[in-house]
Amino acid sequence: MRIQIEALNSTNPLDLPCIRFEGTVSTNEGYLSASQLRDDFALAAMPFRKHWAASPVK
Amino acid sequence: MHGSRIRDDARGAGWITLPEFVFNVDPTPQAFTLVGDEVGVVYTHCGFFFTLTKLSRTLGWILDRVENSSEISFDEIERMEVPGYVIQEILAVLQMWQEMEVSESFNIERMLGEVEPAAFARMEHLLHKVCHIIFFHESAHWQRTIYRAGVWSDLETRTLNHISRWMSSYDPALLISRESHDAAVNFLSADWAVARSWAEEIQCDLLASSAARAAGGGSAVAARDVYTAQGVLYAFVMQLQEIYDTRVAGREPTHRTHPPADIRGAIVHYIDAMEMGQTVGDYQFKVAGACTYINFCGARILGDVLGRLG
Repeated sequence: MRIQIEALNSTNPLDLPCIRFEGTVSTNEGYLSASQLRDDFALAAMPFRKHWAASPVK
Repeated sequence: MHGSRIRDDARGAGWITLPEFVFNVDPTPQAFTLVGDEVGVVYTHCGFFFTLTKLSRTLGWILDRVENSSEISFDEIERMEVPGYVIQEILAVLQMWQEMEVSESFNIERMLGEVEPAAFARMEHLLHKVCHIIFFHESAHWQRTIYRAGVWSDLETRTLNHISRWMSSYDPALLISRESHDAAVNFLSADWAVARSWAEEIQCDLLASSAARAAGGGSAVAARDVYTAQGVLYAFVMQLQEIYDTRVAGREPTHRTHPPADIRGAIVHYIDAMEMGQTVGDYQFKVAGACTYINFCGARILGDVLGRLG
């Protein structure tokens, strides 16, 4: 899918339209969705997070 | 754009083509890529994250040894005492996978509640590196759809040629037995489709390793981090999945699409050494020493685990 390079320079790349979160896990307090877990899990797998924040894509 | 591997119609002024990246909370450690003509989807399950998190103390113990030793002999590894908690953590991962397979429900707090925050913090950087390699590997499967005509097939031909040379030469420095080498050679020789599938996986491993090193800034420390992560991926995650399938789930492993973890690591290192113009011995013990150490160490530890499984 076509992604605007400007969007890659966002300080929050997880809002990009090409990124999706699926599923839920149970906790002692109930269910937690993937989007609620994204800061912990999805970010770990995104190698460009720090680079995006530090140096805009050209 | 001249000289780029990427087709002109796959990027333009102000835009680029990317696949959809899906992060699923599925607790099984799997990742895969669906490739279409114009679109693709890269799936990464959080199971990798959960599995590595459950191995926090083990990975911290390995990091201590990799980061604080300039030289480690095989004799030392053979003689080393594996802490009880290392074996316990590995057995706990096998149990976690088994529970997930039979129950289909996953309570994150029950599964990961015993992980100590300090142990997690010690290995969090390594965990991220392993996840990055997985991300880059899967993305490499997709990249073929945006490459110029001939680029991917040239890469594939080069990888297959390397594999042919690996098949005809056994090198003990790659740390696999002669029997394992010969068994892999026979398996590959029997079916050309298997060789092509293995070549694609190995090609994606090589591209992922290169991309992860570049993403880390290309420094010697970044390279060591990537080799460490590669070692953890081959020696612990993939090897452990093979142990789980054969010894816990009672499944016959199929290696038609993916090589066994030890063979995969050996071929990747062989090709990386050849591409760098290194001897296999120099590459294994000087360039990628951290990965070699973890592979050897992992085989020693998983041997203990297999002994416990009976």
